Amino acid sequence: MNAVWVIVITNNPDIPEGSLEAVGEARTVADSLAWSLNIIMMGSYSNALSNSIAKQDVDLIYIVDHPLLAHYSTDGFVSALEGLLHEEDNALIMISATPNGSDLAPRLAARLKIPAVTNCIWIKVGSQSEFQLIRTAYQNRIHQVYTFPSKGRLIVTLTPGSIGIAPVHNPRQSRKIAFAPNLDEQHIRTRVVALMPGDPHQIDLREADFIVAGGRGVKNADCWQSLVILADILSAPLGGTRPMLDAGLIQRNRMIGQTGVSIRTRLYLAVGISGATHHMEGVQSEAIIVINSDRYAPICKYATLGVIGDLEMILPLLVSRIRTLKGAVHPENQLGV
Amino acid sequence: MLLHPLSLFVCVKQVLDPRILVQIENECTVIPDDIAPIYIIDPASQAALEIAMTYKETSGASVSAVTMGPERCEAVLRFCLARGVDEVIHIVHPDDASYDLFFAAKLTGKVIQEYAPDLVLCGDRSCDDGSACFGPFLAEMMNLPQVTSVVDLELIENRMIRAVRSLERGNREVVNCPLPALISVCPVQIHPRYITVWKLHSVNELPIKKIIVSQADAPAVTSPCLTKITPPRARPRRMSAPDSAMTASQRLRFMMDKGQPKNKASEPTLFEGSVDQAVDRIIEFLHEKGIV
Repeated sequence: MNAVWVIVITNNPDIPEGSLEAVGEARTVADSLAWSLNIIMMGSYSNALSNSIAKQDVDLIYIVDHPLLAHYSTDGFVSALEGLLHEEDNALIMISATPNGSDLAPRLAARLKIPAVTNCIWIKVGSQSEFQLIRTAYQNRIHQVYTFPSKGRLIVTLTPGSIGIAPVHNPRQSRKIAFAPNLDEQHIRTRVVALMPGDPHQIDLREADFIVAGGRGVKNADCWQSLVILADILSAPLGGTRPMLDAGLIQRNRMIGQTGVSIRTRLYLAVGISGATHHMEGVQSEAIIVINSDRYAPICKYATLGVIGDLEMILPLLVSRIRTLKGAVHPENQLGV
Repeated sequence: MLLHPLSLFVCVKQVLDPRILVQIENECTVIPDDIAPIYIIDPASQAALEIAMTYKETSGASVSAVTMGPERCEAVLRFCLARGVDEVIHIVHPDDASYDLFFAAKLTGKVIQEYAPDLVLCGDRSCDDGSACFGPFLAEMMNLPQVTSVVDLELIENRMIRAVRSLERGNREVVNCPLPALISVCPVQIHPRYITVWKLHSVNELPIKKIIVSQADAPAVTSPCLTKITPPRARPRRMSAPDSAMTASQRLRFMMDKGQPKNKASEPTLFEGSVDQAVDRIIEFLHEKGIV
């Protein structure tokens, strides 16, 4: 049987967006080759999340549920998949290039002795029914095009966020099959002992979910200090614009914008930032809170919530109010194994 | 602490300096733009080297380094020697062209296995090709457990390591792994120390063990064929069809935004009021987003 497979790793209660992107891309490839589209759900939430995937336009869903797969481990996941992906098939196996997906894909490829192409942003089917895989290299400065005949097996990882989630054209209830892998605890050598949020002072801005940033509007040291404290109590990394870098208040790797770091966050708190094009080119955020004294600043166009007022008054009060609210809640308790 | 010193092996890679501009030649080769190529040690390999050297300094571990590539890769091994590595091995490949990673991992694995190290370290994702495949391939060839995207590493008792992995959205995962193992290091949190020019010069005469191989040794794996290299072209984002209930101007805007507006919120709300009210509003918003 020829099939496009998508492996979905579900170790938290949200459906991974990268996997939904992969499902959409896999649907296009499967349609071009008239192959079937099979999904493999693995991890502790595979049962719970299989309903969301079942509404997508897919043929079969394998639910691989096992107590030893509750947390991601290379040995456990590779062994479970080895039993599921049969040798005689022509198969394109797709995995979202999350840290766990990037860990799993090459190891699985080496175990199954099949090639792997990682960090693809586009998978096309050529006129000879061959796969054309476009991947980024040299830190996104070039694109490489690989071709591979659609005979045999190939593993591909897809960079999350590069494609977008496809609309579902033929939603239907897909068939689910439970698959019980034969796993032995002795063979799983690595053990997850804790999950925790990253230290906001150390993590890369590109990794962050929520960022607090300051710009030229933060005029004096007291005001900047309030912003630093605000970032600390919100457990958010602190970034800034070029004037803040020039003033020596932030490091080079904390400058956000076209010539600095490009961020992709869920929430961005921009304080005293005008929102010039060079800055906004590096900002992609689901929601932006703006605190600014100028109601005509370009950033206000992007604001989900824009607060116009004096930063020197707002910041200290905001800090003290949040501090009271946060009380004794420790950030390390937000996640747990 | 461990009772006996560990033996560590670092796999290093030489890359084109990512700070110089590159251009594409003959559709399939990346060359530096207008200047002579500058090759450096890959930042991820350097981070792996830094971790290994930290353990050498604190616990007296022995550290060896290996690289694979043409003669010019010797410079990377000299860099490792200057950093204090005990022994370096150069797997010389006469063909300058890039080789299959399976092949590289198999040969490197064969060399490393003779030394039976406790811990093999490599870079997680190099700054040129960045496939992040070498570590897992090598781990599979050597049948070692692997921990990738490692940002911090600690040796604990009973021949175990505790590695901190970098996950999405800045989250971290702590993993225990028995030795021997393979660790691939992500350079985000590790700051390698500076090596003086004097040190770099002082290792010029030190011996480098060389192993010469040829393409004929490559295993027969049908790899995807690199057919073309292009400058980056943004892939058009997926666009859902505009809703027929939209007005003409809304539809135009929808299409110009490629169906997915980049930054603009649907209804920007500007709030002007007293400081107290402003703070209330911000806190309310942060609360909705689950931050406070």
